[in-house]
Amino acid sequence: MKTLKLFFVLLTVISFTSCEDVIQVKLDEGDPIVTIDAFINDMQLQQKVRLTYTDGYFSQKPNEPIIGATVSVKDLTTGIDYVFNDNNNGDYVWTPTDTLRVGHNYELTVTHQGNIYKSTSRMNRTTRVDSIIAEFKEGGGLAETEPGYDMAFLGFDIPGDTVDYYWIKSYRNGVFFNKGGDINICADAAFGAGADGFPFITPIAQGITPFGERFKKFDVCRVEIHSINLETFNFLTQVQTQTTNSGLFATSPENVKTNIKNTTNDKTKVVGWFCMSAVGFRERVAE
Amino acid sequence: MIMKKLLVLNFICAVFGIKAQDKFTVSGYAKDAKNGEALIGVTVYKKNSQIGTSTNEYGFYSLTLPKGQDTIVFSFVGYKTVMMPINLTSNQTVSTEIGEEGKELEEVVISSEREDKNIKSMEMSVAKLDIKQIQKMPALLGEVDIVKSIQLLPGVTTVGEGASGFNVRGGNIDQNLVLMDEAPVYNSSHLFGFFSIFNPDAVKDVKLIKGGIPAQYGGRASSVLDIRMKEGNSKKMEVNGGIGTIFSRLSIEAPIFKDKASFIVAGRRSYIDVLAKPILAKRQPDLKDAKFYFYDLTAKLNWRINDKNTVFASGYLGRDVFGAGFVFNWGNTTGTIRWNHIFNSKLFMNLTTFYSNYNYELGFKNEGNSQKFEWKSNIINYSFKPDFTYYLNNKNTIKFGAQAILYTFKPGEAIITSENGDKSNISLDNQYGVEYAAYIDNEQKLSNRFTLQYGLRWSFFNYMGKGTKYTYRDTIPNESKPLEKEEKIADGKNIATYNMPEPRLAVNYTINDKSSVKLGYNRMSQYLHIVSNTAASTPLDIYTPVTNNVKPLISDQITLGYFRNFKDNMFETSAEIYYKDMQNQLDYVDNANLLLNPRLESDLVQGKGRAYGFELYLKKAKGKFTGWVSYTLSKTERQVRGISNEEWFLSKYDRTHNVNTVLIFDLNKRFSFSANFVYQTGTPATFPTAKVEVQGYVIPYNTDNKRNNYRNTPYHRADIGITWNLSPNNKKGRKHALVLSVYNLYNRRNAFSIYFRNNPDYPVNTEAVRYSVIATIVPAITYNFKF
Repeated sequence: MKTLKLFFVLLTVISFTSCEDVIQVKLDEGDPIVTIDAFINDMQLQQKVRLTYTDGYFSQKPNEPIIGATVSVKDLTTGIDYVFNDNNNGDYVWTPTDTLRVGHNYELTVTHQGNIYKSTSRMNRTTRVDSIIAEFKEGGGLAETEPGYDMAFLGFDIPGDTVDYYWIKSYRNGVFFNKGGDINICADAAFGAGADGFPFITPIAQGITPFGERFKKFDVCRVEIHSINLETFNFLTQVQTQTTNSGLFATSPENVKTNIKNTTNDKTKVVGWFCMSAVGFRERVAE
Repeated sequence: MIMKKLLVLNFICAVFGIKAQDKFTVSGYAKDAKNGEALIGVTVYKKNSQIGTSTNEYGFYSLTLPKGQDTIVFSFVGYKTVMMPINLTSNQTVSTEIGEEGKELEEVVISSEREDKNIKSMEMSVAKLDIKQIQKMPALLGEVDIVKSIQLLPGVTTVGEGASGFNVRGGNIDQNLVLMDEAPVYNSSHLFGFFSIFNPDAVKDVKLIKGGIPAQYGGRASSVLDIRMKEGNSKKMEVNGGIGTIFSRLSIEAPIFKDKASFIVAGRRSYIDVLAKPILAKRQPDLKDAKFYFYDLTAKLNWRINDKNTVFASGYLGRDVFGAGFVFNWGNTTGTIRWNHIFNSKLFMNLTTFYSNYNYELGFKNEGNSQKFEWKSNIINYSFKPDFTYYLNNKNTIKFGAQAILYTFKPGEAIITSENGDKSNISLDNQYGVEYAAYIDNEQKLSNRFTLQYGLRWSFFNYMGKGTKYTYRDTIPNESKPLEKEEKIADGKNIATYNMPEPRLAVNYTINDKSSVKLGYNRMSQYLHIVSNTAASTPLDIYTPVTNNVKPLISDQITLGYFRNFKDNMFETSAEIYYKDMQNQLDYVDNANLLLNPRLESDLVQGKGRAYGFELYLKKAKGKFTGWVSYTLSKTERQVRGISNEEWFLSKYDRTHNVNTVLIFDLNKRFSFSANFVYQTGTPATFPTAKVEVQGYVIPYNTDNKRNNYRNTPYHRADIGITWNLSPNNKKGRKHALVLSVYNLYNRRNAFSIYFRNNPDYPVNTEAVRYSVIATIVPAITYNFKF
């Protein structure tokens, strides 16, 4: 759907003198809400859960971290509990002592100020990145792009009856492309389910190089394919929509959903997401 | 119920209670003397009396008068009044041709007492736009535009500049029955919403009905936009054309057999692509094959076989084409064949059959391998519709008729082809439905002061196979409903049926020659919904019929109006209030997936709506200065389970205040000037009250969970236009004119929307961004010719 939107925007821009101006708007500030950001994967790297409070939209500083909570993730299949340590900056970390398994169900528990927040997630299978290709492109053009390498990856969806959902994360020199518009997710090998067992379609394969973010010579491109589930796919679609919701065809703004529940009471709200992913990855130097 | 019985009783009295011995009927057509076009809405009456009627959509009238010598008068604004002496000894046919008034309108003093039609007629909440007046109004890029002109009427709003369609008294864009020569049009826009698809050179008459909708119309909940195309000059060949900033236009009309048969063919095409091609070829070789243009072709043929039979065939074909490594095009095709038959001087029939097709196509293809994606969608209608008018006597005019519409919906035929040629078909099932309706309606003059129009329309819809019937469980509000079961339904087998009696009522109490009070009530039902959750509707939006999961839209509207004319009908004024109640308006769960989704219905929710308002209108119809000023105060709200804490929230097209001013000044034969001014309260918007941080993304969040809690900044704009007639004294009717226009005169950047984002250079900082669709002054020049 992202590509479609881009076409609409492009067409409108080509056709008319539309315009965007940064303006001053006065907004109410809502009460702070506990935010739990828990995307855990099976890589042998330090895993992190981040806890913050929401802030007024125009607050020009990062959201305030929550310190003094306890965080753990339990493998419901084996019964083993992995405790995350408070780094006193909102990050709660765990250095893998064990391998997290595809097909196992995990439960997140966060305890803070007498409230117990819980969520569960199953770790789904993922596919591998077969290769990464680099193609040099001259700059210029209507969008006045910089010259550089357009990176794209090759890979196949895993065939089978169930729809596989993937989040393809890409990094340049270790820095994650973190704009909402760059979120690259798919169902099987395309934007919607149906391309079962296919190679990833071009817009997804090329999506690891966001528009206007070409790689320079010797930049390192890293691609990770994270398995997600339908709910996480929907959540990330929502994040993408809500962070890029502009133009003639904007949708009515809506609040992103959460899969985390406050099991203690209904009054203290919580937002955020818990997802367990298996990861296939590869790196390549642009040249 | 009592109301309905009374109506039926009244009707029976009307039909059987009247004897007609010493009376005879005079009937016929009224046509334009210049080109033979049938004139719609000409007042025909017995001189010095209250007995009168007006010509219908085909220029036909029928009037029953006492035996003996008499004079009947034909009167029409902007035309000379024609008096016809008759001697009634039997039923007679009297057809006439009426000539236009001279150019200097104020010098032609014809006190035609029937210019007070707005006072006497049953119609209320009706706006007729004179195509000649539309042509003088300043227009965006100089393109005379019917839909844009309609947006300058009271009670009509839009979500913003560039958005397709229009909203009437709180109704969504799909609630307007847009008819082009009786065939419905599903997408009335070129280039999203910048231009409408109606070629002004081919249009004869435009009528918007917002309330008190008569029983002959049905199928949409809020309004009727009835557009009639020209028949084509039956006297001599006429060529009209224009070279504009966006389009070039050409229309040819001519008699085939003088006064018997004629045709019109009118076409338009945009040509930015042609002009841009050499530049693109030089600067942007990869875009040199880019396509971006739109065109439309309108054609009509009419043949007057004899006094009793006339046949019309009309067609429209329009398309927007875009492409550059992708294919994207959409358009409407309509075709109508009509037969007017006069059984006798009192019974007139029009039989319509039409075909309407809206379709789009989208495709991506990868250069170098076979990877591609193709997607097609359409909605096709076939219909058969007999309509009768029975001029029982000069106190009762009865209309009755029926309609059947066969619908085919193709929500999406989509095929993915992989690099190695494997195909995956993710198409959705077609959907089929048939809609039937029958109506009867009587306009009854109770006295010189009281006129009543009452009718009943009965509609029925059958959603049928071949298809899949989905059954969903209803669980958490604002979440996609889980599927319970799906069944395959065979061809022609019933899946769901709905039917609805739709009473209609209009009352006119004429206080005196200058003023009247009118009351209108109508119930309307609608058996299809546009599926769109974007601010402006996109060409990709599909329509869904009502199904076992989606209920029909029902609206009830009551309108009360006061009409008064001043200074010998120089000024027409009206004040109207309305209240409209709507059931089963479509809304969407959060994060709904509306395209290529086989379980679309699980993402749809339906809720209540209400709209009410007050409309003031002042129009000057005669003189050197013409134009209107209107003011609307209104509110439109919705209530939907699971959305905005289940409280009433404002619709996206709610605008509290809406002021429109249109002025046209005919200085002399050479120059006329025009100006518009528009002021509208900003559209409602949902603004965040917090930011959420997840995975490095900063997401706007509304902690109260309220929809449309803020408003965008007000919209206002002024435009001016000058028409310079280069051949004012040409006797042969040849005309050359230059039209200069300036849109958005004082260069305001009106907000289409305000959205929220991270600063692209400093992602930690959040900011509000105003998006303006047209953010500059837009001057344009158009050359028009006629010979």
